[in-house]
Amino acid sequence: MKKAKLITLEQTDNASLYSICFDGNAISEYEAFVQKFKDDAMLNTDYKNILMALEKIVTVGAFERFFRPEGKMSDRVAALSIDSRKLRLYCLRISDQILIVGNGGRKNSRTYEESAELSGYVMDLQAFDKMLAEAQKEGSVTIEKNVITGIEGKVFQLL
Amino acid sequence: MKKDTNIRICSPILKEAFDSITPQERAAFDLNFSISEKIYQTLQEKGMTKRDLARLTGKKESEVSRWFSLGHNFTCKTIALIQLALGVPIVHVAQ
Repeated sequence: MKKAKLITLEQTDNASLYSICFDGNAISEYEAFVQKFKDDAMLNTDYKNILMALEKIVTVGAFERFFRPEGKMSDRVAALSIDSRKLRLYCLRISDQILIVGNGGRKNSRTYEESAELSGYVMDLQAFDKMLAEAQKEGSVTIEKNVITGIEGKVFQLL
Repeated sequence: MKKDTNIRICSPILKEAFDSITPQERAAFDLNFSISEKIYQTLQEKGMTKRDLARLTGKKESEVSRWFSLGHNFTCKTIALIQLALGVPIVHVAQ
């Protein structure tokens, strides 16, 4: 069973960016993504487009038009809609004002299901989404406008 | 639209990553983003869809969708096509 914390990366009046940090990892999933691709010359344009897209999203909002749905109808998993589509970054789009950024990787197959690496990242987000929804339901976590409260010291147990 | 200076970056890893973006890369991204948003707003105002835009420009819907993906690099030819199709200026050039 995986354990994870939710950490705040950036916050503005219009939107907040969060990421997931798994138990035993020193850095969040988004930071792991950044570390993985920062020196990849082949994917540099896509990588920087992702950085700038997230920078823009924090400024204007995490609107649906900036994402393409991934995962299942029942979850909130989405991939950032980047032009070249060689690199995928998966997120949980909670609302126009809250985005939880996960991990991602090179897109070598038509769908994420065909890649063990990419489907692993999607499944992590699906599992986290489920636990976050349960925490909201039981009242230990609340989401209001651009803030998720109750995450300080909270450990989510992913099934 | 708010300025990007409102962003707080706490993580050294993310700060290093954002610092690696050159002013030219950021300016190009911002310009393309503004064009894409202007097209989106125009469609909204006219009650039109991407499918309508595809029909008016004679392009495939998949290509029109790409115009709305983040980081899409517009050419002058494409901007001219969209301006003519929508009947409104998308880009103004300072005289």
